[in-house]
Amino acid sequence: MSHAWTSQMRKGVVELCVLTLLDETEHYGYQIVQRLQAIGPLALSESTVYPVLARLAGDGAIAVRVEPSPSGPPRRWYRLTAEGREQLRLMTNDWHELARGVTDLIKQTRTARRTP
Amino acid sequence: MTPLPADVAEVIDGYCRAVDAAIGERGVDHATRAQIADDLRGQVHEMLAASPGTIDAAKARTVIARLDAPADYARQWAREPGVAAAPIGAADTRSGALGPVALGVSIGGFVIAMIAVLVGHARGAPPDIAGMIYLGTQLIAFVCGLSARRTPSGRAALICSAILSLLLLILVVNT
Repeated sequence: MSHAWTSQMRKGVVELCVLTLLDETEHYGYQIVQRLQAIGPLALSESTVYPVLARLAGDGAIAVRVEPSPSGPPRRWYRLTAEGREQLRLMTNDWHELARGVTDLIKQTRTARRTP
Repeated sequence: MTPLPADVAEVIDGYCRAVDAAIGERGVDHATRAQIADDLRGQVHEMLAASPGTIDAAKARTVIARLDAPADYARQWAREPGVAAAPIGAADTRSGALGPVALGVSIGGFVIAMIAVLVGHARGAPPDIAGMIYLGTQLIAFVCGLSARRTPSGRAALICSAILSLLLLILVVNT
């Protein structure tokens, strides 16, 4: 897989991944980074995640709560707002349609190649 | 939470400052930069707390070496949709300053032009200079407001200068 293609794909889905995680429960920044780093092919790191978190907070899709942490400075807990939930719903629909469309296309071309 | 030794805190601060400077060059506003620095600082602390042994400056540098370089943040910012042109949740510094200036020029130009009309009228002079001041300042305010249209004061300047220019036009047409 070429690096440029992975980079483009990562850029497109990072927002969806962040919103999906926050739909589960509220997370603080490093938790989100850890969860998203675990998605092998995406390998999202903090320089990708934190700017997206800041933008989503600025857009009102997520809300922030600051609470003391036992291991350092206060933690910033992020949670989905009603606006963010609606955005996630639309993005999830788009994602499923896109994934279905691309999968169908791959299947069709493979079938066409096999049949003489 | 036990405070970190001063040299460890300095290593962390140095890294956060470098990230802050890198994204600051992209025109990202202060509040957003502070938000990112807080998340990042929290992450470094958590990574240090999770690592075995004593926390010292060398360990802090090792942890930071595993993180993205400040230049990666700058690159990410350039790729964020709409962010380079309009930083998250706020206008960039230049637009932020230009908006109030534009509004000030518009209102100030109106006031000065009115004073020039009154003074000119008292002296029996034609209102040409007042008209030039009026139109010139409204034009400057409109251009500045257009540049700072992402800020509330920029939009206010845009509307204000447009209305005041329209008023002059109506006045000129009627006379």
